[in-house]
Formats: sequence, structure tokens, C-alpha cells
Amino acid sequence: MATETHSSAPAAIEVSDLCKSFPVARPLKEVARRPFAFARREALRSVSLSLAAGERVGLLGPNGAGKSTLLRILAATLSPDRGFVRVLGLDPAVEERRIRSRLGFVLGDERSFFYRLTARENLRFFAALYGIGGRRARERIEEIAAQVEIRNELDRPFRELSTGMRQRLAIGRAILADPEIILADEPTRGLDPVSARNIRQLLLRLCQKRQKTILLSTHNLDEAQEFCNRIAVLSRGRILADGPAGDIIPRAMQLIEEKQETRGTGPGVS
Amino acid sequence: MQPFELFTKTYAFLRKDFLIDTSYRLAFFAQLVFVLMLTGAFYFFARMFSGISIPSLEPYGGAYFSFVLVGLALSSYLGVAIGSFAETIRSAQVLGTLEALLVTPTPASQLIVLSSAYAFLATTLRVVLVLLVGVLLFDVDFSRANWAGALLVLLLTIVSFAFLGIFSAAVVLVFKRADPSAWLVQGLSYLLGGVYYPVSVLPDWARTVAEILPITHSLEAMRRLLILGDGLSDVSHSILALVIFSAVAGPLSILSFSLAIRRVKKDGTLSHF
Repeated sequence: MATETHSSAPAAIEVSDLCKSFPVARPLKEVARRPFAFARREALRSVSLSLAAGERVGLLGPNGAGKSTLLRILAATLSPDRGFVRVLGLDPAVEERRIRSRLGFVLGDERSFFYRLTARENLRFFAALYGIGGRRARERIEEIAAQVEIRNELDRPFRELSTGMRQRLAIGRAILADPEIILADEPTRGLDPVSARNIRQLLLRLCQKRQKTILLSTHNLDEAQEFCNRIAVLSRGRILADGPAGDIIPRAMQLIEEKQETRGTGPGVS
Repeated sequence: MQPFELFTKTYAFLRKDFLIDTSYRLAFFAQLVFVLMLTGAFYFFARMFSGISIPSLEPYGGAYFSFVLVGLALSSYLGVAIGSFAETIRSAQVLGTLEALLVTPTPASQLIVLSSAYAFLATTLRVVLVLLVGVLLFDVDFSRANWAGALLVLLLTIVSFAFLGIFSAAVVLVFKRADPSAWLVQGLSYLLGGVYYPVSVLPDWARTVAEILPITHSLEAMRRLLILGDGLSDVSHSILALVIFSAVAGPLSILSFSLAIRRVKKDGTLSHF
């Protein structure tokens, strides 16, 4: 399947020929039989993608497609096997600190906060890790709480917050340092449809108001359609199509299903 | 990095860990009660030897309780150094906060060190409590103590133990679960380092092994400074040993930690547990 690519303005994110594989744990019996055979699972195969500043791009694909792997490489918490990666013109392998100070990561995992602390205390702690302290941190937290609409929840322990509120807090944490790029890894995972729509609208408002570049991973077609102005379809580590949401959405399912059929059955998109 | 930024981060870690620690109120106070009970237990144990002259204790003033009190106090730093760095990694992996910490601009090495700051501070408070209880309730005599010298040895001890801890954290990062090398170092330190009994009672081969353990030198120097009131020149051999240990273990532990980070970033097992 030929890959279509789009590029216009200077790239906020640029990835080309990116490959990543992971070692596969083998059963003890298998290790004893062939001790020096190292199995690897390919997560990304020659992925190329470019995002212009201010673009909202959806990374659409089924579970295990390689979406989270790509986001983690961009956030410099994972090293690629090979390929070219630039985030805001910087190489994640050598300038990870500079990249991370200009990039926010919305983690889909709601366990990524400290349960015994309040929402405010959590934000204050993470603000310090971005070098924001004292009065500036206090003011910034109030500002963010207003933006992500959690002002009334700020002094409640994290463990008492609903999943939707936790996800708002995760977005608040990601924008603490007012980043130019936001990476969102399935930000509506586990949310009911109404909460999920609210989160999407919140991200959309932030993005439009502050001109942020967003790369959002999702396996939800509606989410991709509602939020993104461009979509890249990723399946089994390959980009199958990349283009305007209106062009891609109608054939996204077909593309993924074709790919699944050629490689056996696997998880699909919803 | 600006000094203010480092201060902000250190304060943030201390505050966060204090809030979490004190949110488990019973456990927080139980720890303090346990310290008092342990000190009392060793006091009564030491009373078995009161009035008896023990030659191996003569170089430390002859009293077993003051000898073991210093051993207990200092060995708690070993436990926290070896345990806290690895525990920090392990609990962040299990709780799910590790990735959230690592996507911030704070370097991983700094995160590990700062994550353990509260454990060291809490241990220092417990050590002060142990020594105070010893002096106020059990008549331990530290009237001749060289406090400035003791502070210097304490700092060297913390640094050298911390390097062991960072090495252990590197092992946990890659292999997950507990680190066998930490058990080995801790086990050897309690067995041969002179925590509960003087190193002089050990056979020759064991004394040779004890020489390479930092705790042996920390305890030797600390006892002489606190109990006998010796000067720094009297404990220069121990200080030199701690400096050499830190100079060797420091770069090795930092190297192993950065190799571990590189490895887990390559394997994608950073947040696995």
C-alpha cells in the first residue's frame, strides 16, 4: 500500500524511516533449546511523518499498531533502532531536556499521579520538575485549573477524582510549561462518551486558542474525525495513509482491515 | 541548572514525600515508636555486660551500649541508601508515576537522587532521635564528642552509601524486582562491618573483607569521634578509605545508571515491573 504524505509549513515534528523493535520474552524451554536466538517484535517499520506547527494530527490505529511507541520516541523516553527524528528541530537522542521543556505529554494512564496528594499538590510537584516554583507555580496552577475546568476539584485528593477529572488534570499537567507540542496518548481511554467528548472539546479549545501542535493517538474513528485536521493511519507498525481527515476517515477501516487480513486477524478500530 | 531550580525541585520532592508519609499517620508514628523500642532493647541487652571488661570494646570506651548505639544509627543510613534509590524506581514503576516523571525536563539521574532525599532526611531525624534517647534516657555519654568531625564523616558516609544505592537502582531498572547485589552488600556490612560487634573479634580473612566495606570505616571513625572525642587526624585512615571508596564507586555507579537508562530506553521496559 502506497503511503501518502502531506507537508507544507516548517515541521514541528519530523520522522523518517523510523524503525523500532522490542525483544520478545521466550519461554524457559525455548531459551534452553536455542540460547542465542533472540526474538524481536517489530513495533514500527520505516515510519515517516511530518507535522507542521499548529497542526492537529490524529494517529489512528488498532491496539498494538505502534502509536504509543511512536509517541514515546518523540518524547525521548524510548530510543529508535534507526531512522531520523527531529522535534522542533532538535534530536531527541542528544537534546532530550530541551525537547521535554517544550513538549507536553498527556498520558492515558490515570495511575500517573500521586493518589495521596490533592490535584493542586500534584500539579505543584510536577510544576517544580519543569522548573516552575513559588508564586509563579501557584499562579500557573490557578490559570491551568481555569483552562481545564477543575478549579473546584483542586483541593480534593487525586484518589477521589472521577476518571474524567483525572484526565483533565493530566491535560493540565501536560500544559504546565505552556509547551509548543502536545502528545496525547489515547486521552479519552476509559471515559464515557460524554466525558470523552468534553475532553476532546477541551483539547480542541486549548489547541485553537494557543496554536499548539497536537499529535493524538486513538483507535476511535469518531474521535479522530472530531478532533484532527489530518490523520495518519498506523497499523502493524506501518503508516498506511496520511492526509486530510475528510479523505482518510471514509477509508480508514478498509485500510486497516486489509492490512489485518494480509497478516492474520488482529485487533480493530472502533 | 540554576541553583534556585535545584532548590525548587528538592523542596518539591521533600514536600511531596512528607505529605505522602504523614498521610499514613499510623505508620508514621509506629516508625518512631519502633525506634524507641529498638534502642531500649539494646540498652537492656547491653546491661548483661555491665561491670564486665570486654577487651575488644576498650578502644571505644568499653561500654557496649554506646558502641552499638552508634552502630545502629549509622547502619540505618546503609539500609536507606541501598534501599531507597532502588525502591524509588520500583515503586514509581508499580504505581505508574515513572513515565510521568521521565517526560519532564528533569534528568533521570536527578529524579533518582531527589526521590531519595526525603528518605535520607527522615533517617537523619531518626538517628538524631536514637542518639537523643540514648543520652536522655539511657545515660550515654557524648560529652566529649567531636560533632564537627562527626558531621564530616556522616556526609562522607552518606555519599559513599548513596553510590551503592545508585548502583542498586541501576540493577532494579534493568532486571526489575530486588537487586541481589544490594542484599550481598547489606548482608556483608552487617556481618563484617562492625555494626553490632567490633571488627577485631573477626578472623583475619574476614577483617580483610571488612576493609573494603565503607561501613567499617564509617563506624570506626564515628565511634572514635562521638564516644572518645578524637580529632580528625586520629581517624584520617578511615576518612581516606571513605574518600577512595567514593572516588571509585561514584563514577562506576553513575556509569552503570546511565547504561541502565540507555538499555531500558532501547528495550522499551522503562515502566515495566
